[in-house]
Amino acid sequence: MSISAPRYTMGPLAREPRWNRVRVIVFEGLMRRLGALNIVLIVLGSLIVGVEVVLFTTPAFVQITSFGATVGLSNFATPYESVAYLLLATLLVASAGAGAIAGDVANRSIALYLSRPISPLDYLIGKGSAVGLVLAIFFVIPGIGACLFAFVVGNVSIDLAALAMGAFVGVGLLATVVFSSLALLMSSLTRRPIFAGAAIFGVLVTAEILGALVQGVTRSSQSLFISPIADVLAVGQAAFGLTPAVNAGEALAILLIVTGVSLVIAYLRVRQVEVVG
Amino acid sequence: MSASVVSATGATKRYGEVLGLNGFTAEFGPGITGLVGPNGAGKSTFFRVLAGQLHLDAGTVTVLGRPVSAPVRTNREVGYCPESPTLYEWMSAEEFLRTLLRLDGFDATEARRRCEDALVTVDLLPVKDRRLSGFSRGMRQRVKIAQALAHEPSLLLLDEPLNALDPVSRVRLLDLFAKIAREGRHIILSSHVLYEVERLTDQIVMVSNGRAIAQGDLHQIRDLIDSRPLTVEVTTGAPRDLGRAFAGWDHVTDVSFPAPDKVLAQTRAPDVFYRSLGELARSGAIEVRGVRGLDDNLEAVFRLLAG
Repeated sequence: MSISAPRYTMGPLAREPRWNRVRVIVFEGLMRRLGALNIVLIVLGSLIVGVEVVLFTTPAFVQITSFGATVGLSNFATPYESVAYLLLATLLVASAGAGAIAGDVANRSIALYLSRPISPLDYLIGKGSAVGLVLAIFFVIPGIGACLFAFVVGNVSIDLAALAMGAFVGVGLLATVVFSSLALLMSSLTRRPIFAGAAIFGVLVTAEILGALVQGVTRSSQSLFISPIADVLAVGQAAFGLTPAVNAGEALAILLIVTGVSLVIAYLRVRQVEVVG
Repeated sequence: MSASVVSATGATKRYGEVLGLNGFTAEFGPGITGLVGPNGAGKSTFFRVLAGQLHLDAGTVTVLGRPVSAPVRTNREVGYCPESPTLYEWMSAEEFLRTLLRLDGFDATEARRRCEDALVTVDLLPVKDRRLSGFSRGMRQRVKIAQALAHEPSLLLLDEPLNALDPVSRVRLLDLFAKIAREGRHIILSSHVLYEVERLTDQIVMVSNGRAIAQGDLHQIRDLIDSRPLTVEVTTGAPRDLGRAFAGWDHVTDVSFPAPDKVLAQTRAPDVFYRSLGELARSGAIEVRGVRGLDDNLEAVFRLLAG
């Protein structure tokens, strides 16, 4: 009697490369994230940036607001001079980022992702990119548009417009990466998107209020470092040639550390995700 | 080299205080193997472990010769139909299948072709553009089966695939599974209804309380079960006509009407009963909306084997 063991042959492995599969997650996630509320928030953010930049760079308004006839890079900094723009951004981060991972866990569609040849890293990159694209629309596109508009209608040179555009892109991408990573972290910590959204908004706003309160008591601006919003503001103000309340280099370092730690924790959480029940 | 498609040794999975798998040890050979056990026995937990969705607390499991702890490569070769009815509710059936095929690594053209083939296989092509949120349970079941089949995996993991399906769809899918096995692919199929599994294979693994309690030839198990009659609940629009038909079958020992659209039949020959019922439904003479085996006897056998 002879015994022959069955032979298992692998199927066609020459399929599309990994990044194309990640792109599918990004596209699917982007479609999910671009809901009505997020579009409204993006439009509001665009209006803030557009109106402020136009207000401070076009000749007629510059005369009226008596900020001087000479337009410089600092005239473009208005979105990063107060917390209003970034508080609106916080709402968008909470709304667009909360369901990134928690939503898939809540509606159990993560089971279908995890049954595909997708690694936890691929999944995290895909989800983070989808959230990041929505945030980038908020942080980067309005700035570029406003600079172009100022160049066309205002007394802004092409060099200055390009410089301002670069600042908007740089600070906008930094804010996108920081807030996306925080959103992924919060979304990976719970199975309920609403909890994740509340956590994102709560942590960012609480840190901002706490930093300001401690600053008021201690008269030291060092406490502002605990707020990612204040840190982004500091980097933004420095990028546009203003003097921020805290050291921009240190704020940038803190933001990068926060981003790195958030992504590592989110990755470890995604690796541990199980489909139960 | 192991002859097993799937091998589990001492597989243990805890959900807090509850043991989902309790030292589960079994070998699943080529072809079709039935994983049979009562609800809550650990069948779905074992499938989720095989699909890489649950992490073992102890023991080892290999799928197609590779450890289950490295699912990314294995998942290319595995098609998993989960028991839960979760789908991407916001997508149409076609979008859903195409997205999953793209995640499997197929390009857009190939994904579209495979998607269409899979929808034809489960008879959902006419509703491919309808949102999944509007699908009935039976249609969802067919979509889940389609997504498991579409990338032509070497191993199909089917967790209660016949749940919520009408008799005609059941027969068609059982024929499809048999065809897939004849092509040289492997299927592990779970059910708490032994007679469904019996139509496909005589190789089974019986599971109870997270342990494999029996493994091997189904007929010996069936002999235990056939010593007692089986009760089947049939949902129909014409209960009187169906009851009359049942009364004419000599293997049916009792007929009752627990609800206006339900008929309970007790039979001494379940295989003959299911075959006859399938023929009756296909003939169109009587509308049959659903069939559910109230397999109390199976539970009794499980209790007997589990000690």
